[in-house]
Amino acid sequence: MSLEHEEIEGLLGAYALDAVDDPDRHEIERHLESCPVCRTEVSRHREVAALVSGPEQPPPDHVWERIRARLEDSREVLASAPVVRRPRPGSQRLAAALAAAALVAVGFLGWRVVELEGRIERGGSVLAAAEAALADPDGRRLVLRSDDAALAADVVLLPDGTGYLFQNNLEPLSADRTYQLWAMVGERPISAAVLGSDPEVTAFRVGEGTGALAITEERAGGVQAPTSDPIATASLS
Amino acid sequence: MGQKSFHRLSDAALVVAVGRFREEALEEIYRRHAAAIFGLARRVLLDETLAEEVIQEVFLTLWRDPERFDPDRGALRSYLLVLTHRRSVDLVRSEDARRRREEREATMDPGRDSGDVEREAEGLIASERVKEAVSELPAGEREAIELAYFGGHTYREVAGLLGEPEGTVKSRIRSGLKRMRGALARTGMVEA
Repeated sequence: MSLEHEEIEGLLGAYALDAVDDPDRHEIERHLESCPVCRTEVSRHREVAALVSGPEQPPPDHVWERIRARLEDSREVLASAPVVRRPRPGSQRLAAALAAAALVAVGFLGWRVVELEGRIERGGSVLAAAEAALADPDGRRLVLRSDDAALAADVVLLPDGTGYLFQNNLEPLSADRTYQLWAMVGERPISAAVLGSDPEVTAFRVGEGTGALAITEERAGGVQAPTSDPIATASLS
Repeated sequence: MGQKSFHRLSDAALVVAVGRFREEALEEIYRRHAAAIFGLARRVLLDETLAEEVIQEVFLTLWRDPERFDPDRGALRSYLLVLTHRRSVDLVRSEDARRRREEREATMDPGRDSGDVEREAEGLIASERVKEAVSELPAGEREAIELAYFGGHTYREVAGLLGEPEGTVKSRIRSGLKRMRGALARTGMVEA
């Protein structure tokens, strides 16, 4: 049972208020992963809901004390702030691999180094997740290339279909244009992510049957189907 | 870092600090946002003890997985309210909570026959500007949003409660939210 885009749109208000059943919720969340327009609508509804969430009421004092006591249980004390985000608990191997991943990111297309370091400090969850994906032994590295091999976009793909675009030398576009990533299922392109006019580290997801990835240039906000030939492609086979 | 400096940090920076196990950063986030999320949890759950549990869970979730918050996707308060609301609704829909609410409702003033009515008495009102935005809603939209958001009901349940078709309820929720956004935007509380 799969919902059409229109049906999903109609549910976005209810979804934003957590007023849908679980099956609908899963369908909607799957759709949201690849639909920035719907994601924006949900985010806007949630902003409104936040404003009407009612009068504030300070919790009793003991609530913070209880939280604090439970923090002590899961505490890992660090003497100084690390540059790279902490690894998930219980993963020593990942910690070492993350350090290695930072070196990989630094070595490739060196002009990105300064920007990456700056972004680590912003606590971007996508960057941390991308670093983890790079270190994942099941992660697959791919490079989307233009026909003349001048343009390249580096991608890592995990077995469950989540992926991260990180390094690329795509020309920055004007603000009214964007790059868009497509998953090719046979001949059919399915939007995987709107990358923005100057793509940074970006998360995306592709579904079963994806045979290739492609990047096109489109108008800002993204489109339902590509309007031109791809700028760069990579085959998954 | 002394405690004073955490007061000056943005929400996003505080979350980064939480990622580095800075307890004072979590405490500052608590200072800024706990009242807002506790207020919501209380309104949905109609139960202070349960609301306190939800608040604890939300802050522990933030402590364990700060990277789930993406500052590009929205404000930290909205994110915390979403976590709070989801958890509260899960509890509302669970067996135990349902039983407790029924017990509670049974002992309530005979003039009130459901928790939903009690919530309606409080209304969607938080401040004058919000009050105005809400007053611009047609009754059907306001009721649908009230029952869905604060009552923790799915849109299907709301349809049953109001005796309206599901499609009508869905679209009233959506159009009500858009209408409120328009009203709030006119008063400068959100971007249009």
